[in-house]
Amino acid sequence: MGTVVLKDQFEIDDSLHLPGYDSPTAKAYACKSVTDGQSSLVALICDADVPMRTELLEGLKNFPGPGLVKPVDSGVVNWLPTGRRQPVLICEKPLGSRVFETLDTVIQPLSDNQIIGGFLTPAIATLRELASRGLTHRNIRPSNIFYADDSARLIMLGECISAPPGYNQPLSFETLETGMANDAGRGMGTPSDDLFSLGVTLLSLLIGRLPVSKIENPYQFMLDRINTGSYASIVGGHRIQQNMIEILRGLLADDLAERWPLSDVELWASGRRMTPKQAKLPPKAARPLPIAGFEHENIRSAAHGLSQNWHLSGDIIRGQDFDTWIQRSLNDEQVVNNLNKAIGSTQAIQSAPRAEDPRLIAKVILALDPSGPIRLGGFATHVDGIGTTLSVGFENEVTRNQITELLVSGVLKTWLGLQGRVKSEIMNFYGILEKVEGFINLPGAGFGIERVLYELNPYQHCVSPMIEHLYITKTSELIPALEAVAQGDNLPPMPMDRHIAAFLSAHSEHIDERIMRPLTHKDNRPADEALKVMRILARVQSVYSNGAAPALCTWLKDLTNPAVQSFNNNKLRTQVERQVVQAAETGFVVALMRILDDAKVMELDKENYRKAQKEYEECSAQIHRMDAGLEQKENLAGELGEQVAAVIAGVIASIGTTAIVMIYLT
Amino acid sequence: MANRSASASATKAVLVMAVAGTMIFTLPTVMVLTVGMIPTFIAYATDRRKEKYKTVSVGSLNFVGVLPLLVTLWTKDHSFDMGFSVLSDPFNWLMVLGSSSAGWTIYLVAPSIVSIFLQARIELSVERLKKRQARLIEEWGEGVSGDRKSNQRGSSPGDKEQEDVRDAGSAQ
Repeated sequence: MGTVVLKDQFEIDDSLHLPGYDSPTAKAYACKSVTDGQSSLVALICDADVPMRTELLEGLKNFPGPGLVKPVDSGVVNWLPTGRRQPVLICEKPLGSRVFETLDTVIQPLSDNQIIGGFLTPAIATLRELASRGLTHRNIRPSNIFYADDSARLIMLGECISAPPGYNQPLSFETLETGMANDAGRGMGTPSDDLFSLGVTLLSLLIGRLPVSKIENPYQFMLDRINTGSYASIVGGHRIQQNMIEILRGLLADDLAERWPLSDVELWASGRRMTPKQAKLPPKAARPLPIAGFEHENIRSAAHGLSQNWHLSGDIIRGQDFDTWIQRSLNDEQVVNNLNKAIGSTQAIQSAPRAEDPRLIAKVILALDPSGPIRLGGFATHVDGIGTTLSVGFENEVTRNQITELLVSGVLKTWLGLQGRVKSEIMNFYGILEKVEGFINLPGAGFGIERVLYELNPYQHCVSPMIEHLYITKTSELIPALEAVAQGDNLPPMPMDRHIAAFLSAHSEHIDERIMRPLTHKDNRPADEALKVMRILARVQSVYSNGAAPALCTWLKDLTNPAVQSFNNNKLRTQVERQVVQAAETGFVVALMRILDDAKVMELDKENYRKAQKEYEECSAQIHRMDAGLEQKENLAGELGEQVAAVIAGVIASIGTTAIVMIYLT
Repeated sequence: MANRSASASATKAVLVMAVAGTMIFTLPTVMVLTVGMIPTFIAYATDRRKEKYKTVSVGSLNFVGVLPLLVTLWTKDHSFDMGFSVLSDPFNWLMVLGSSSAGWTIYLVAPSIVSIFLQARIELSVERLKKRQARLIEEWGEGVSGDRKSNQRGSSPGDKEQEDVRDAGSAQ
């Protein structure tokens, strides 16, 4: 154990745990700045499985005022206690302690003055600054507020980066809209959601403990809040001073139009007082709609009931009773219009096949409660929470299937059609969702649900089993990560998998479809697969120029050895083997690729091999013919010998005749 | 066509008549030639080959042996007496039979000698071809010889791995 340095700027002492600054998804450790030796920092070692709100870091730069635990930097460190690389968030350390050590802690209730002057005023300033930057905190709760100094006069909001928005919030601190969503799918929300959390936190300070200590049945709790209003449900029987009722009613209003904006809270904090207004409850239907034994008297309650009783909801929405309830009992023109827009007529519902039930139910729920989360197949998420839901639950096949179904079901289009004004950030996110719909069912590496994960989460680290422990968030870190893997003993079959391919496709502008497409067609020859992978890695390494990777090259060299061995010419093969070894030693994949990816040389080798085979065959045929000739040489020699004998005899006879004639004539 | 055949027959008849006429006027020569060329007639009689190499081999040297007898006949006295006298000389017979036996000898020995030459030439060619094949194997490996198993590597990159995978599968 010792210190670990982040970005040459921060020294984190992994032996000095500061439990007082822990968050549910991060452990706090002592940290000091290397440059100025300032030790008033705290390093939050975050849970690698929970995505951070890294995008907030830029937005929170130069954040003024003492009302927020400000983030200083973030990064990834080799964390010895867990033996892996983990994300770390460096924050300014509050000088005082946490106000509520845990959510179960009971403290001395704060006075009105302490609450207004020490908590509400700086909190409002913080929320106003956040709103002006287009950000939300979404992590305001009693266990995430700190005393700014030892005098315990000023309370500051804790950090809001180490977990997705609302992820660590107890249900009672979330609005109805965000509370009905799964923990990871609550979405970034609006300043109004922060104000609601602020209201419940204020109530906690007022009574010295959480207003709702333990929620046994979240479904029932939410139903109660929907039907009786969050104020009544949360404040319940707690005795509240009269002067505080007004602000609590304002902050805990479920109707967005009724909930106090920041300006009203500021006015109240500065002394303006009015008569508390009664919470406005949702309009009741003439008669209730029974779902699973509970009588739902308003549309949001019915929507929640349908979403939580998924197996019964198909029959309910197809039933005449539901249609009658909508048309006559509810008497709400807007809901009828929404239903028509979402699913068409009652006949359309009844004629739809049973297999369409989940989508129909999701659309009906959206029509009944358009501002609530999208609820499909038993899970609920806001549009901007789909990415974080997938990130947190990626290991769970059910979650993956649910997100897949959500993206291809057309429910998102229905959601958009039912919204009034949509924030530009949400519209951008919707644009990405439309884009990934085209990828999700593609089978090849670089597509599928993995691609969706990385497209929806720009800061998501690569969760490939081979490099997950190295926590890489940038494509430029891929080659060093694979080099580290290659230096280990147990090498995976290939330095590429669906996650790495998807991570590269989604996060690198230099890796386009053209480069990744060959991976779609699975080749059952490992050497060919290795060559494809090598081309991609060569591209990545040359684009990011982040140094040599000799171990990775050796790994690739071994994988592509069959390709080297496939050279037919012995001399050429030996030469290529030598070149490959030399190239691997350089550590540059592109050098390997230049040797092994030369189609001309390979083709020429094949062509020459075919010629050599033909020549060998011809030689064999000639030898065979000659062997046969040798066997029949007596026959051949017989005829040829007789010819030769005739010629020799003829020649001798001619000479003899000429000689005799000349002798007798002379 | 008919005219050409008639003309050939006419030519043949003229030739036969000319030879027959000549033979009538050179009967001693014909007698010596007929008796002296008996080895050739024997060779002709035993020559089964259409090309009549044996006849040519024996006949040509037999004629060389008979020619001095004919020259004696023509230069001294072209008569039957002289013909009989020449034919009765054993030295002349030694010459005639010696020359024809030389023809026989050439005819019988030549095929063996040719066979030796042929064998040597074929063996040289086979040696050269085998050397070429060895060089091809050295350059391209055993696969070039058409050996099915080693040839699989050469057919396309990666086929060897498939084989390895198959081997692994069968081992299990």
